[in-house]
Amino acid sequence: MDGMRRFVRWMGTLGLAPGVLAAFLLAAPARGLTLSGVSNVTLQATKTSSLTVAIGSGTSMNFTLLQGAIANGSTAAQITSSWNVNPGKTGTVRLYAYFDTPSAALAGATQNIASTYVEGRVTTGVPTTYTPITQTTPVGPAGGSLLLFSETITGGNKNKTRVDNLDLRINLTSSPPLAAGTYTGTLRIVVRAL
Amino acid sequence: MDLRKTVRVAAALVVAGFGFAGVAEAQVLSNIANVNLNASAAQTLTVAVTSGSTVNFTLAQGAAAAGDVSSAISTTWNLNPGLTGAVTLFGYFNTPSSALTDGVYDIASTYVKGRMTTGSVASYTAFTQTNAVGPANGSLLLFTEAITGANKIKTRSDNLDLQVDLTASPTVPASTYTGVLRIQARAL
Repeated sequence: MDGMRRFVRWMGTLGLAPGVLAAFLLAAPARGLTLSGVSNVTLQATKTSSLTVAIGSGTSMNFTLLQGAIANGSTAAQITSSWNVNPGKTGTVRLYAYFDTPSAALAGATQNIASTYVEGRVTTGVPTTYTPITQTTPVGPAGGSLLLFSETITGGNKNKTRVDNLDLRINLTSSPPLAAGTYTGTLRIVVRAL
Repeated sequence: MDLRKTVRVAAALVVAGFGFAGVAEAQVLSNIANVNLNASAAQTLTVAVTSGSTVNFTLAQGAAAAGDVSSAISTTWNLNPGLTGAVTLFGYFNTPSSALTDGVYDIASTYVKGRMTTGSVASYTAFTQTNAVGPANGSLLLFTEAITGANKIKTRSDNLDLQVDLTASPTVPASTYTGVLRIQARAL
């Protein structure tokens, strides 16, 4: 024990005690750390509902007309409908076809073919049998459209792509005489989510 | 008091209106895809003998024998005036030298005459014309009608009267003679 006291005294003699004190003094600033308050950055991301329609094939359809008879389209229009919607905001997705001017669904040089004589069907949709494009719906002009399918939206199909074939024909079985010639028209296809 | 009640009801209706408007705003429409439709109606031209498809004659040498009935001919067309100038109806025999025959003796089309009072031949005329239809010297033009926008789709009916005129023929043996007169319309 006396030996230890002698060693300390000897170390003090060498001047080590001030060094140890200096080391304590240098450590003093770390104990004074100051932190600010916390500010938050709120992140918000919105993905809007999407709804698209495309004609995969059959964008051009030909008919050979015959008075008093039915002329089927040369091909079916393959319609692809895709959506990504919020089931909490969207109840159903519906596909429609319409003509801008129902009285002239197809126009000729001197005479027009009204949508009354243009019939469509979607066997995987709503009109499974040929039906004139004469409905009044939220899409297209009055008396010039046809609902092609209606699908209720749930969590299971909120993000979906479906393909449907639209068959068209021109039914002249009860039409007035149609002048010989060429007739052209455009059928609009649109999807609506609500 | 009534006024206040009315105002409250009106306010409620406005609020309800905004509520409905809110539902409408949830509508989402897709892009529009197009299906192009091309239709063609071909020109048509038909002819039919609606009555008098069999005509009988009692021949008499040196005289004209009228048919016992007229042939009613119905001609129907649906034509493009931009492509068609006129519709013409013809009657013709396949073999003019034997318009009618008993198998041994022939009566030539020279002695068979036709008339269409609503057409081009107001008086009896022999089937000896050369036309675009039928053999040379064996036909008769019955009517010609120019096509315009007004008559591009039309059906017309005409009566064809026939006679076998033996006033200037050589002696025709007593017998039964048969033949077929062809009726055809042409649009050009």
